[in-house]
Amino acid sequence: MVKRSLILLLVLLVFVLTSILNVSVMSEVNLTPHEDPAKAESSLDSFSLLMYYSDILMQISIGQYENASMLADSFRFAYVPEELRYIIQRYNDLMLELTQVLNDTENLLTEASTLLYAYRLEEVSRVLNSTGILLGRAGILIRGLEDATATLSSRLRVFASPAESRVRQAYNRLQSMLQRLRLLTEDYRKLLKTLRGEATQIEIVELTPTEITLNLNASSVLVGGFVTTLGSLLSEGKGLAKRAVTILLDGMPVAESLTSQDGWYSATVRIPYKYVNSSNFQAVYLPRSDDRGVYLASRSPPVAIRILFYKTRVGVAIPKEVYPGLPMTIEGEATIMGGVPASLRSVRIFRDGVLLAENQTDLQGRFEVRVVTNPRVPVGKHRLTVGIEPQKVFAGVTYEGELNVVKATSEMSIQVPSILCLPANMYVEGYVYSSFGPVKGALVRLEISEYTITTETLEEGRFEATIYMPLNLVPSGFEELRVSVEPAEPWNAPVQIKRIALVINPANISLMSAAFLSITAALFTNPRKTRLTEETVLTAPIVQHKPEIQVVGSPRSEPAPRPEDARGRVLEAYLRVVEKIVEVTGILMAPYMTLREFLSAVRPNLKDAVDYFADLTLLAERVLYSPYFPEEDQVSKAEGSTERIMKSLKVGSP
Amino acid sequence: MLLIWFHSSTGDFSEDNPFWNGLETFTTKFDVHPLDSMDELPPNPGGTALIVIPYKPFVGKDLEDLRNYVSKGGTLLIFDDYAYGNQILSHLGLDLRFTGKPLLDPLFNYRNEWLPRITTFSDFAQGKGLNSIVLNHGSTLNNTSQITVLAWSSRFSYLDFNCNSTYDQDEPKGPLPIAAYGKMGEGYVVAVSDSSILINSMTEMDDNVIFVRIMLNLRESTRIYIDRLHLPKTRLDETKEALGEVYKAVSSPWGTLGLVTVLLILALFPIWRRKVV
Repeated sequence: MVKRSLILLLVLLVFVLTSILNVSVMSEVNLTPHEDPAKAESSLDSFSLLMYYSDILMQISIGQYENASMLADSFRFAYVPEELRYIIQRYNDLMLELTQVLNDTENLLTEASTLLYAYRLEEVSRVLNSTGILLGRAGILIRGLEDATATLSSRLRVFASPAESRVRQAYNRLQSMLQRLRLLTEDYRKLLKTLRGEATQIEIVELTPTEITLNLNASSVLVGGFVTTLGSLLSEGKGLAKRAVTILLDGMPVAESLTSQDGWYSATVRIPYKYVNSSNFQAVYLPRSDDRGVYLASRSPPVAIRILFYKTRVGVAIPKEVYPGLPMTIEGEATIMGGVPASLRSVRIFRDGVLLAENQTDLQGRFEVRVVTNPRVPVGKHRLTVGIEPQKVFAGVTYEGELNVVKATSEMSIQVPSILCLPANMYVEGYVYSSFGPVKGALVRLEISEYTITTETLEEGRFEATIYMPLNLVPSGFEELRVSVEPAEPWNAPVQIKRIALVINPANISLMSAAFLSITAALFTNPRKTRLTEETVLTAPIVQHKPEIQVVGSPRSEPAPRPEDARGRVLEAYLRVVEKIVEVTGILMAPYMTLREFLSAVRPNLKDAVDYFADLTLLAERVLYSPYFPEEDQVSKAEGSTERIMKSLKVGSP
Repeated sequence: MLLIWFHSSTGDFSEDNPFWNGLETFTTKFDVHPLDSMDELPPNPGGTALIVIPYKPFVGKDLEDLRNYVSKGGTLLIFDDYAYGNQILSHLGLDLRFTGKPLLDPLFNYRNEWLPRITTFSDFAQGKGLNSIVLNHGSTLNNTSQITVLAWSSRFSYLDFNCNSTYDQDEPKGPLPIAAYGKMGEGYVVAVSDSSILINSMTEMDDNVIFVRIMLNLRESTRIYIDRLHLPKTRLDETKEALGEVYKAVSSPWGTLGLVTVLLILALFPIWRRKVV
């Protein structure tokens, strides 16, 4: 009972101590500095969500489609509770699709308008049809968005909020943005109708078609060279004079010419320094001024021309390995076709896209660039690009290679004692070197057990240090000495070496001995608790001899005076019975026997009296070993049992 | 006592604390070296970075040591929200200040507005894989006109002046600056208005690790220190330290000798007593 209470008290003490010790001391900082994100309560602000959506729709409604897309894309960083994730994802998809559709619609309407202005009726018709389809799609998407808004608002419990609440205001704003979108699509429909009307008008008027031709004076030209374009602009077989004709090169206008009296035109165009194998020319006539409403625009078929230039080749030699902080040399040779040196050409060298150096090829087309590698460049493979810049008819060229940045392996040799007896001064000396020679000025850190010391290597790469290890409680045994070297030069790699030393700690050995002695003393000097085996109890020696009658305790030479109190009377009754049993059965009550063991020993011999003797034994045991005070009736019963036992033994005695 | 000795630290920002509020993950990942005194700062601090989470006021010459550290080429990173970061900034002669008020974002956040998500960064973040970071009960910066701001909160965020978790009319709205840096002497000072971005539970959120790595590599720091002196300590930490001092004392030659003598006496006392009897 007492033991149990003590254990409970100990557990409670540990719990209270742990709780108190965990109290954080955050003096004078009243706001909570942080919370556990895993246990953070989740909450969604409906007002902010609806306002965000209305911002996106507003951007769409004013035609700022790019802004709207960016805002919608940023939404992935907003927090959405799990139960709303699906519906919000659908809402976002609808908005993004609507943004794209309306953006495309606007672009097509602009294109149609431009084509119509140029009287390009065939193309206009195609574009207007596409626009109509897109507007139909936009209408469907807006209706979908309206339904989704109602559903989402219902899930956000917007309609349960008071009318003047912020949430309702945000909802109303969203609704007004949807209305603006409907108006926007309506405007686009009207514009489409107008453009269709104009196209029809032009068709009705039956403008006069025109025809334009284009020829070149050469089928190939050197890059940067000149090409003469010539052709004619005709309408119903007759040349159109003094009309502007635009020459396009790969779709870009590069020249303009006026037609002559008979409708011929000519223009000289310089080929830009674009090193491509071929380009396409086209001539375009767009009616202007009085020609508008009279003639249709026309475009010539494209005419290809071969572009000639000299390709450049480059061979580059890169070092196999480079070291941070050390110079490296990149050399190479540039040639053009036929092995002719590409002389006086600009050379630019990049590492991982960053410009490292610039140079120029010599007259033999060779170049040599010496550059110091950045001391902080990470070890590993890097992309090296060498570019030879183009020069007039000579195209440029780029070489891509790999630069392997490594550090020189550092080596270290040390002398360390292999056995130490505490307290001790551990003297360590060593030498650090690499393929570049002795490593000087490097930081050397020596660690053993809980002791650390730092030093530096000298000019010739040597170092020495002494670690003082005092007497302490660390157990004796093998300890690991770690020596780490961090070189000052960036081209040398760090190195670490480990050595084992046997550390003998006399203090710890004494401690262990004291503990061992303590345990031994506790085990072997306590005589009290000798356990009796069951065998010993059951086969208690039954000494069969008559003359001497011995009972528990000391031999009695004369009868003791009769006790007056109840406890005494019970014990006296018990003793009388035991005496008799010993006399009759010859079974002794040995000094090491308990009352019950004696009962077990004499049980077979008692026959009818066994129950009475058992009751008497229990009562005597209780009186003897506890503060129990028997009642008068129990005492009388005990005395009665005594008489019965005596009678029974007298009858059964030999 | 054994329980106290072996129980993991649970203190906020403790480098031995493996739980959600410790710094074990950060100090291990970045090989951070703790400092218990400003005297341990290297004399040539170029290429090093010092992280300060100033939860206790600076006293004595610590502020001057910090100033020397920065002016000689060190990079000082102050992670603060509601504590003593302004004391450092003021001593360094910078106009920059921590507002000391909670930054809340009701829309762009992680689970609730007290964990705002930051998605707007300046050019320094280009091409480095930094898309978003999450703060934990952070704050904002003030007076950033003379320095370079690195990150801003969203326009839905606001400073909760009266700490009622609700936007009130006069409270500043986002975007608000939350990280910035400025040059001082040969070194740099970087201010981030949230000390909790470094704790274990926050390092794995979004791109927080990338952000911290970029902060540390603004000057390509090769050795990183953390000031342990101004971090909060729980009673457990203080008791562990006290036990550590006791262990040191007992580990000394005289202490060990005394302990061995006492144990020998206790071990042999029953035998002596029995002989006397």
